[in-house]
Amino acid sequence: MDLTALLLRVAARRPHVLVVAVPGATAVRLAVEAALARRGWPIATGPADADVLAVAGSSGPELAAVVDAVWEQVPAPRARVDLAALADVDEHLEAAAALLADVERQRTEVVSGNASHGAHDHSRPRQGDHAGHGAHHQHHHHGHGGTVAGLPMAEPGPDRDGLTLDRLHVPLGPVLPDWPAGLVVRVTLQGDVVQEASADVLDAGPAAPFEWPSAPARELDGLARFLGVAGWSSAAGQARRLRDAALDGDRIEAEAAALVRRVRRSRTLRWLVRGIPAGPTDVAALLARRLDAIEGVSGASPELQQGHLAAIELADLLVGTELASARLIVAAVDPDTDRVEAGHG
Amino acid sequence: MGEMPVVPEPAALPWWWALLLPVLLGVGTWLALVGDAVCSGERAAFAVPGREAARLLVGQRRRTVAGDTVLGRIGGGVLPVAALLAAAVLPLGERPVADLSVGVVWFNAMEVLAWAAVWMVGWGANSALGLVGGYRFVAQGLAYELPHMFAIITAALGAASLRLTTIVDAQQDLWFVAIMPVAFVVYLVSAAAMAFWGPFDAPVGRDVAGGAAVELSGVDRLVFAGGRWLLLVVAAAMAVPLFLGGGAGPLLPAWAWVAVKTAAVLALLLWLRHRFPTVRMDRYVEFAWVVLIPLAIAQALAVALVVLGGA
Amino acid sequence: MEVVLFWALAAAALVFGYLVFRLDSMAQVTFALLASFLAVAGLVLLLGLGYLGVVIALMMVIEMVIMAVFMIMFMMNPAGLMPMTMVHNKVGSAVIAIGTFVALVTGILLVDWPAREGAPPPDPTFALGEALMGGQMLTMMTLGVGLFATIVATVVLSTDRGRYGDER
Repeated sequence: MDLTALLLRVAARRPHVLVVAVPGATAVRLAVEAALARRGWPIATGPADADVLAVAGSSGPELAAVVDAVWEQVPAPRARVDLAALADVDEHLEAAAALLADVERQRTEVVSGNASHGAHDHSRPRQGDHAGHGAHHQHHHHGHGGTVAGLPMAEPGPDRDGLTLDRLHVPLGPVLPDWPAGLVVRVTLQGDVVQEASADVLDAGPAAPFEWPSAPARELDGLARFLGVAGWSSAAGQARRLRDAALDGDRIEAEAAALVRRVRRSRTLRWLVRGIPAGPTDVAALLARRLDAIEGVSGASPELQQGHLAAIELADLLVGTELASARLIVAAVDPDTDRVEAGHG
Repeated sequence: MGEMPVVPEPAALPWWWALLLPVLLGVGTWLALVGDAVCSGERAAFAVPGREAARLLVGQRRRTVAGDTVLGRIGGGVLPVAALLAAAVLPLGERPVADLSVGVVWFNAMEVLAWAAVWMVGWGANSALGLVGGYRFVAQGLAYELPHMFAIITAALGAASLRLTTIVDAQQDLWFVAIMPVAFVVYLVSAAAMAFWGPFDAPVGRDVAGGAAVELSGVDRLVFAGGRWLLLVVAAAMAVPLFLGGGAGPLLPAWAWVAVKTAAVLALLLWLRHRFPTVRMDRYVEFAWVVLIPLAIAQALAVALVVLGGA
Repeated sequence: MEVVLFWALAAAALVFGYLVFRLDSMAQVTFALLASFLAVAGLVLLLGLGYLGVVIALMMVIEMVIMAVFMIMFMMNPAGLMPMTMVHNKVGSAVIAIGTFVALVTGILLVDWPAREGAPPPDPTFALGEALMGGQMLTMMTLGVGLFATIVATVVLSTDRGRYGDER
């Protein structure tokens, strides 16, 4: 047995899985995340870090194009899992792991799938970032800059200080860790400050939006994403565990109260999220409201979480913030992309 | 203070220890990885480093369109080399591999190579998120470096020498952590920041999909991640001769005490990641410059008065 | 051995210095300059000046990384994706640069260097510190802390206004 086969078998027991969430298929996404937590497989941060690409739900045309573009960027050894239904999540993941350990199949993956990576003259212009190759490949506004290596050059533009700095058009999402399903926010960055933003939900208007069996589970899901973006992975993991327990029907009041206490007591987190406005409120207030909702104090969900409102207003909230604050705002608002009507954006 | 101090004989280990040092550090890094996996509550924690290493060894490398592969690859390679060079002055027991008369400054110079390394890796990917990660590390460097320099100079001040073996010898009666606690805390914070670990992992954070490491895979990612872990272990190990008395202690030989103390400091640094969210530099810079630096200077002044008063 | 090392480091310093003007990418240019400075730091170490050599390396790494930030910000073509040409006075600047180098080398080789009297002190770092600051230690420390306090005060005054004016 050669070294490659041995290494593949050792590695296939703990692959990194990149989960693509599809709007409307929240149930599948939750099942996938619970299955991964049971197996101890970590969630990848991007295609370069991924071994398995798991599409949780059946994607529409726009999202499918994005997923194909992301799949091209996943390096070998790799396996792709398309999970349309809730039923066979575990079998599909097992099959993916078996595929990863299969030397012959992986050798063909290297030759055919990623051959384009070696060449610099890739036919489709692609910015090096994987963050959401939406249906657009052209850049709006500035079409007249020169192109280098098949890519348009960044155009300078005025900045709020009166300087002229280069503007970079970066689409954020839909395949980002701890990001709402199907959301694409196209930002124009100067440095790391967002100058313009426009939000859209790919393949909006699903047939049947997901009904959460318990409100604390929904809030815990949102809290886990927020804590992930804030960089507190241990608390985020605890929130996810509690969410899975709540969805299984276990009673989680005591542990949820402990988590809420832990998050509330963290003065560092308070210091970090202080002073980031998000429309009429700010991130700290949204976090406090979510913590209250987990404890069952307030029943109504905040207005900003209505689907179609969030997609339009989200972009306005992000202008003038820097990238880290923008991500915190999106995570705090946590728009429910299941409920977006088709044709918006 | 007109007369020259007595210059001690350099006491270095035999030359072949230079080959053994990477192996020792590798073992230390492995144990630290297992410890982190245990802390994170991973299943089968002992196998986790092995599986990750296997995954990265067999993974395919990637190239992005119009990326700067020269700088990217150099940056990735410089990170572990910088950590190993910084470890050359670390006393393994009683003697280091290289007993430089300016050991403290050498350690400082080698760990700032990480600034160049991480920026180059972030730049080399031709990716917006990678660039953001690289620049975040430069901002972080500017914030942690001055308190760090003051902290290690305070330790050198306490022993009136920049040589690490002399600093260890000067702690025979009382460890420096008792005389200069502020410097010790500042050093621990800067050790986490220099290895962009724990609360200071914004340069490779999840919110920018991996930051500087966003487009790395395969051996490139292994070298980068390995370099980061080596730097963390070396920074933790350097706290021992500087503040915790080196190999001093009853019963056990010097190298065992060094290992125990390094493990304790590493455990503390690993815990930091679980206790705190990621600290963003736009909040931290002000704290570092307005609070930590004056504290570090005040600590240095206090130690200087003690040393002058005792001399 | 030392002679070999000397010539290797000297050649490295010159080659990387030349590359600063030949490479297209501004980022690579910055790090080529850093490599040249590190070679010079190595030469200083060869002279037996341990502290100075290591401090040169330390300072130059930090400075070149900060310079990279400014090079990317201000220079055209920072990634070297298009060929770079010096536009202004290419011949004149080359003549001046090479001429200065030749003049300095000629001077170094032709000067009648005196014979060494005495030996270096046992602790060159201590001797350096004494020579630099000697009897003015208190003055130096006060001035240093004063300068530093000015920097910190400037940072506080500027960050208090937020990133885009009075937005806090």
